[in-house]
Amino acid sequence: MKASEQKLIQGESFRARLYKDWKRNKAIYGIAFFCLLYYVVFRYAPMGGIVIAFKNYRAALGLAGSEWVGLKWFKEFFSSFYLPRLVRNTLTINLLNLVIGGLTPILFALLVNEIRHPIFKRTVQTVSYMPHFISMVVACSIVLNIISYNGLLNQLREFLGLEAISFATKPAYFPWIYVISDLWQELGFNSIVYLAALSAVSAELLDAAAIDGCNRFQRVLHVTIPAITPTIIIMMLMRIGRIMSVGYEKIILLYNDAVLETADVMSSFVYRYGMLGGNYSYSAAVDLFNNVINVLILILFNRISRKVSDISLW
Amino acid sequence: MKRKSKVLVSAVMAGSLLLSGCGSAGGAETAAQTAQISKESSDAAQPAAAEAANAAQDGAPTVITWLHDSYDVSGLDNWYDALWVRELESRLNVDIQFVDVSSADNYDNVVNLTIAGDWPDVIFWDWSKYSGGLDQAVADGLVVPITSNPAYSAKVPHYLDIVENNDLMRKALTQADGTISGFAHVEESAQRNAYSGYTIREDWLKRVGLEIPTTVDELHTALLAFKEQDANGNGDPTDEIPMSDRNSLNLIKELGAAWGLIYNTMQLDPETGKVNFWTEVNDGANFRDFTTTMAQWYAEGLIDPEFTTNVQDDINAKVTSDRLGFFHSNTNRFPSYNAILATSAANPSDVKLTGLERLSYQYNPSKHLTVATNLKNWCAPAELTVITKAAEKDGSIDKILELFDYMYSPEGQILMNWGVEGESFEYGADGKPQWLDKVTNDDATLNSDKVQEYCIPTRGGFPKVMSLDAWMSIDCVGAEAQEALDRNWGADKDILIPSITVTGEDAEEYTRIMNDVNTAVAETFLQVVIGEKGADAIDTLYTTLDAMNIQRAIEIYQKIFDAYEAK
Repeated sequence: MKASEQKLIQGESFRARLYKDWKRNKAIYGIAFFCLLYYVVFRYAPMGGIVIAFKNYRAALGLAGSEWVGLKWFKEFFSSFYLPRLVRNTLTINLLNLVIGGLTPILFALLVNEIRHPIFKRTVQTVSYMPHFISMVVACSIVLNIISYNGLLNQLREFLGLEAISFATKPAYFPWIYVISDLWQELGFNSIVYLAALSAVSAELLDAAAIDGCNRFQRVLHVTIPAITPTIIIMMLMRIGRIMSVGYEKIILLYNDAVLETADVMSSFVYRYGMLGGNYSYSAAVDLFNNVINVLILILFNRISRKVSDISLW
Repeated sequence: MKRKSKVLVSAVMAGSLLLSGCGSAGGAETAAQTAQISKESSDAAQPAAAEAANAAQDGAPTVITWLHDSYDVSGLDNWYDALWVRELESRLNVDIQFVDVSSADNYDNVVNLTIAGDWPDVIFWDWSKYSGGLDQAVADGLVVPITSNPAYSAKVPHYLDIVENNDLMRKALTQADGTISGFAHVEESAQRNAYSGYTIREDWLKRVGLEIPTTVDELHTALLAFKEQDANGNGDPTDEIPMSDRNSLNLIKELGAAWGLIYNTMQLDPETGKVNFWTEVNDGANFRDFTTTMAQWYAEGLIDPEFTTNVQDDINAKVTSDRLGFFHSNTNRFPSYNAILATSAANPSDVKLTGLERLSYQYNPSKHLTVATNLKNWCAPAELTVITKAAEKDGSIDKILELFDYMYSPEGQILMNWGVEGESFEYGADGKPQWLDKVTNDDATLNSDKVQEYCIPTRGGFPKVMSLDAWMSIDCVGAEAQEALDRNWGADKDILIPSITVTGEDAEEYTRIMNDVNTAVAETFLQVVIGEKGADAIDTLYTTLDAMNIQRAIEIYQKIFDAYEAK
């Protein structure tokens, strides 16, 4: 945009600028509308419901009619016998996922980006997205089948002359099973955003680097990666913002009593004790607590990132 | 029209998720999915002529809105298509409008969302999931108490007659303040609840030269023989799985009865007759012996190493491939097992599945205990159909009470369990109802879906009496299954406590203690059984249980049980 044009736009009132922009980018506003609508309806409107964390909520009495109980549910959660274990397991799974599940999509995107054959490239991408669209229940039963005592993995081990291992009942394996199966399901899908960023890397810079004598690896290291670093940091920050949350669906589909020691996370605990027992207030309290921690950690890391790299979410 | 808008909403949701580039697993989506419930009129399913005739007779039918989990029977789209619903509507001149529940998996959420909004006239739910139970739902003004109002009591004579004449039913349904507010599906005989038990391959026993086991030791010998010998006679001595279980441990739980223990729940102590928790019986000796015995069996390779992840389909596959010798089974599986084994077994003509009598109690061989709590449940004490204040407000409650009572009346019982004479059944020479060919479809085994187009002999969840005969004609077919039913029912019921909803002042403390206790015990039990931890983990468990105050929980439950007994 030319400097004069920019000045012109800044000189107009906000409404005039909006109107002009609206006229020019109707389609984009149209797309954004649904995003905004989603956030308003499903992310902001339900926030009012947080009050049930401080009430003894019973559906028949409604939000307003249920009695206030102050911090009762928080106290109950903090006095829970298993709290330390739940925090430990939640963090273990999330940190593993942050490192493995966070970095491999970048690597994968870089590799895919280097593929020159267009049809092969598209095939690789499509195949890698596919598992993302398998429903969680089906995906987990596939995983359980593969790791079961007579499953594929153990048949492979037996073929290699190794003894079969009951992976599903050994606590030490659970976080790895969780993270690796997550990788299988989400690797391709999570790499989309990096591939988009990679397509914006300047071809001129890459050519210049090539002329200066960089080989392919050096070009990736010195041109491509620095170019997508902002995307990487933003994506990592967003993951860190969920550090205290592990969805209960996958946990309860994969775990059994024998591996609770490493598999029981906050959400699965809350699911068993809160949701199954009809105690929605308790569940809300724990979730609220988790999210407060999430936000604090996010703010912290965002600040660090801004100081160190000048890149931040806000 | 409604369906279209649903598709649109999900497309928009999916679209915005993709565009915004960060989906997340949260409660909001679930709520959105389950919120898609709407009331649908039953007009389409009603024969127009019958309706017109009714309207002429008694005026317009009374509209009853009814929340019930969705119909999951193949061949039927919803409840209205079933003969019994149409009959009830025309006989009682009512228009039942079932609330359309689109997502069966989330019924609890559906109920919660529904009662947070406009209440339907009638709700079926497991009220133990309402914080504080049914007592609280009445106190909160949601549910109409029935027997405290003489005018209402007078309208349900059949129901109250049935309940008052059975002590276990009356105790189960009477709330703390002495009223009855819920309409349960009650049993003609609790024997119907004896449908599950353990089953052994009698032909395998014969092949290895053993008798039917009656004690733990004899069972152990049999399982060892299954493992070591070619019990299925296919020439391969290694393909037998002596015993397997589901991830819910149905079989292992039932085996616990031989040690007088009910898995992870309050029970009556086989020695003292008082309330106790299974880890505490005989100062823990029973639990320790049971756990270490199972661990030994697992180590010996007698228990399928996949049992912690098996689901019912896995068990079915192992049974029908002629590889499994000892397993837990419901009576309705016998016919299909037999049908498949008739072609898959190495020696099809020998195949014999036998439901075992309960094994002797380890500490008193004359006892044959069972853990099947249902044998003392003559009705589902918490899964109840209730009438809400909305029905009182719009005046439909009188008609609803009339309808419910009809469903319990002799005439109504026939309709609910057998359908309509000439349509689905006819009376045989012995005066008992018999299915018409079109219901049983000339195939006496796989008709459990077909029959539900007419009536619901195998289903609870509605105000009704479960007929033992009608149920058996569908879910307990054949000599083997009926023998198993008798054996399951014949077990000693000494340690069983009927299902009691824990309510009242101590309920919260009890729930809190038991939440932790159940996790600790379930975890240690399984870890010791599969050899992940040694027997010393049991000592650690006892220290933990004391720290969690298990004795206090037992004390609370004893109080609740005493109050129940005093009803």
